[in-house]
Amino acid sequence: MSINEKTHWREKELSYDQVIDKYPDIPPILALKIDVSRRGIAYTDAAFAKVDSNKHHVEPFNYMIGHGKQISPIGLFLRDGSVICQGHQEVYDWTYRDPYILDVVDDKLVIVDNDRIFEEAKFWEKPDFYDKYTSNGTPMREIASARPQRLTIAPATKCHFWDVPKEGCKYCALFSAHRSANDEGDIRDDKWFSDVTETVEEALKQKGRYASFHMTAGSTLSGKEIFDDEVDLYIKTLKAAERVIDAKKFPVKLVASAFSKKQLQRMYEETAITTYTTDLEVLNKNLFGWVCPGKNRLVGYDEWKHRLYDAVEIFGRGNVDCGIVGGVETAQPNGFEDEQEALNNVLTEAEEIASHGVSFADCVWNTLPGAIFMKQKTPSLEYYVQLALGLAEVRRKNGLYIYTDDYRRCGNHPNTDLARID
Amino acid sequence: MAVKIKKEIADAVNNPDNIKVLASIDRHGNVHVVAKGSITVTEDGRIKYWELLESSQTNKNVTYALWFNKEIAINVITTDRRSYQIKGIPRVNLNAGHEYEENYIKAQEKNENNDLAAVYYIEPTEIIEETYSSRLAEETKKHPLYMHLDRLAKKE
Repeated sequence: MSINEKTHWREKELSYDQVIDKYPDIPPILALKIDVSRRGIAYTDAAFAKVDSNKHHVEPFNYMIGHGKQISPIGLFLRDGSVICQGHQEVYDWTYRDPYILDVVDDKLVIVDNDRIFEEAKFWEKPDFYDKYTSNGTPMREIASARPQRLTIAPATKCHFWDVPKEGCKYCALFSAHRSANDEGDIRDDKWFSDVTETVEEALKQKGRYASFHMTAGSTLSGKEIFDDEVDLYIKTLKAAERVIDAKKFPVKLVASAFSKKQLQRMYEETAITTYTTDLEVLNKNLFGWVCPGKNRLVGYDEWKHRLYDAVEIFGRGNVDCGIVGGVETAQPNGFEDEQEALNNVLTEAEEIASHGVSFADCVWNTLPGAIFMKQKTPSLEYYVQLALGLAEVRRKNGLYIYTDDYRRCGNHPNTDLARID
Repeated sequence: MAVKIKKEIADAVNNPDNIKVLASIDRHGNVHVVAKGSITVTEDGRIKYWELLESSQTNKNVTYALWFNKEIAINVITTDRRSYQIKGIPRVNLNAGHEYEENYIKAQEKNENNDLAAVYYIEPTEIIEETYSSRLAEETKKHPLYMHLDRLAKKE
């Protein structure tokens, strides 16, 4: 029995074609990207047979999620230059919607649903540094990862909001391999920072590969002031990278906890950092308390917003972004049951925050193993399309750019893809 | 539906001494035209060009055309005053991967200050002869009544 035969989900929401017809401003290829992100994509045997670990970006251990039954490339390219940041997705007994299929037709990888071919796709290519080792003998792929146009380093692999059981964010599966109380995550000592320098130096030899340097990590709560040790770690990591870059400032994307103004000032003055992103995750104060209990207890929704506004004073309008998990506002039992009501709520709050100079980076919520919300039902494609269009309009209305969270330097946000034609 | 570009026209496009311009529209319908020296015709009959500036209006417009299957138009003017218009639909924006990196390196060899936003591949859909002498002959044959009478006045 197919998933649809069990859940009848296709009869309960507008189809892809109906959504394209109803919202002519959404590029069809972007609607497909949203839908694949929402439903996942499962590879056929033929698609797996096309994987060449010498050429394609495969991570046997997904350093961010830490599990996966079958090894697949971590992302796909579409012909418009955009990316889908997903590999093969397993189907579970609780899976509500059939995933898209990645198959092979006429020797080309294609995205298929219900026997219809939507688009050709290509696997991400492996970074040239991936099979190399530092002088300490560390595989460089354990120091940095990448997307097609960005170099990524995760200075900490443990999110300490999970130190209190169930206080981590409920949608999140990141760094889920390091959630137990005795696990402090990977060690970051002088050897590691030296490995960072060598890895970045090697990475930059690949001309044309990297348009930004990205850092993100689990939250580190310790220090004289909350997040002080996290700030120290990011500064040390950036300084390790800066040793091999001949510029005072360069495209750096930092996705981090809600740093105080003093902490942000320090980061801005002491490092090459140019933009800053901190994620409110869900644009509703009550839901924030439920979805992100640790963030709520230790910082709070209003203070998190306030810190975003402080960041604009330091980095400038359009250089501060707020990430949200688009759709999580409909999680049950406490989220919005009506999608239109959810959308109105989110966009009203987004407008208020954007008026202070903050742009948005909207991720498509997908229920993943390792997340408390893994058995939730995500919203319709129509919802996500309206959300992307609505957030794009909020950005335009407030005259904001999107830099390091855009289609090229990140690639995981449908609303920022739309900035390409602004 | 893709059309084949004749060798004479492909050679004209590929000659670096000839001038090439690219016209496009934005999402509001506003027109824009710029010279694009990098326009070439590939061996498989597609139009290719380098978009050097990420924030250029052309880059936004060509992305828009790719997304919504709209045409852009190219005109090539040769040193011996032949002119051809080629319309096409952008099909591919290549901005990463080894093929892109090869183009990036070549762009920097031309000018070390160049960056490369994308390599675009465009499927040609229509080719129009715009050389004045050809167009004049065609106009005279098809529309003989489009003329001013003074041109017919008897000469003394």
